[in-house]
Amino acid sequence: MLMTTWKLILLRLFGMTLGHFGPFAGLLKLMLTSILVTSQKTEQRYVASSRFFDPRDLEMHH
Amino acid sequence: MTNTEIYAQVALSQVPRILGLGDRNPRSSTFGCFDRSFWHYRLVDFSNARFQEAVLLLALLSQHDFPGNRYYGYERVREWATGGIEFWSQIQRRDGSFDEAYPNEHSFVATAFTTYAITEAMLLLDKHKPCHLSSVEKAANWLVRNENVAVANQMAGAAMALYNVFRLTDIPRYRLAAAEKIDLLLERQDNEGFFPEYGGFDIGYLTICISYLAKYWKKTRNSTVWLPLQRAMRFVAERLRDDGSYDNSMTSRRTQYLYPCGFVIAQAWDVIMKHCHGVAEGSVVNPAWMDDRFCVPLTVDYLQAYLEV
Repeated sequence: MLMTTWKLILLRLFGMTLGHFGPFAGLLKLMLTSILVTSQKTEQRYVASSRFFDPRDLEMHH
Repeated sequence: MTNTEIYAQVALSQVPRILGLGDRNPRSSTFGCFDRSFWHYRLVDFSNARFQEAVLLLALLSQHDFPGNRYYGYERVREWATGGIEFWSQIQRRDGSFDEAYPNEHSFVATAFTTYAITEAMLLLDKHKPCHLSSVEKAANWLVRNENVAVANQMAGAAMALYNVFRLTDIPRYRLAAAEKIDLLLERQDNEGFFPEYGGFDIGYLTICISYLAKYWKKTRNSTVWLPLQRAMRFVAERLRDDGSYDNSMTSRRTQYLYPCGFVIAQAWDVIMKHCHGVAEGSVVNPAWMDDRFCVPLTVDYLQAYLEV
C-alpha cells in the first residue's frame, strides 16, 4: 500500500487533531499495525528494517 | 578471543556519514538534529526521533581512546552530543513520548530506544543539564505506563532505558519498572529459546533483544536474566551459517542483520567468530549497507561490541 497525497493529508489532519490524545493515537497505531503487519502474510508484512541488499540476492531465481 | 577489530573498522567508517546527518551549527535552531530530511532537505514536517541515537555514538567516540578513533577527546564532539540531547528534549511530546513515522505517533520503540541511547550517553559524558534529566524522567514515566508485549526487542529496550534512568536519578521506581518489563519479557520466551516478534521468531530482532538483555545483565547482574539469555543465544547460534549469515525466509519479520554486542558481553565467541568472518568477507548485512535510519543503531552496537572486548 503506497502513500498518496490524500492519504498523507488525512494522516496529518488526524495527527494534528485527534492524534494529540493518547487513546486516538493508540487506535491509529493499532489500525496501521493490523493493516500493514498482522493481517498480512509473513512475506508481505511491512518491516522497516528489512529488504537491504544481500549478496545472496544475486543468486536467487525468481 | 576473536578479531573484533572489524566492528571498530566498520563503525569508524560510518562516523563521517552519521556526522553529516547532523546539524552541527550551534547557532542553528535545529542544532543537534540528526534527521537530515528535516533540518537540511526540509522535506518532512517532523524530525524522526530515532536519528537522535547518534548521540550515543558521539559519546562513545569522545570518551574512548582506541586505535583509529580520531574523535577521542575533542570538546567539539561532546558539544555535538550535548546538542543532540538538547534537540531530543525539544522534540519530546507533552506526554513524554517521541515520534518515529508521523507526527503525534507516540511511538513505543522511538521512546524506548532513544531514551536508552540518550541516558547511556549522559552516563558516559557524566555531565548533564537539569532540563535534560527532566525530559528523561518524562520519557521514563511514559514507558512505565505503556507496553508493547508483542514486540520483544522493544520491551528489552524499554527495560534498559528505565534502568539507565534509575542510574541517573536514583529513583527506585524506575529500577522496579525495568524489572517488571524484564519479567513480562521473560514470561513470553518460547520453549525453543526465542522471544516472539509478532508471534514468531526473527533472528535480527532477537539479536537486538539479546543486546539489550545482555547490557541489562551486565549492569544489574540479575541472575534471572542469564539463563533465558543463554537460551536465546543458543537459538541464534544453531541457525547461523559459517559465514555469519542465516536463512531469513521463514522468520516472522525477515530482517537480515545481527546485533553483536550481546554475544560479546555474554562471551558467545562461536557466534562472534562466524559473524566477524562474515563482516570481513562481505557476506552479511552491515551498517554500511543500510539506509541512514538503520545505519545509526547498528553502528552504535558494532562499536559497543568492539569496546566490550
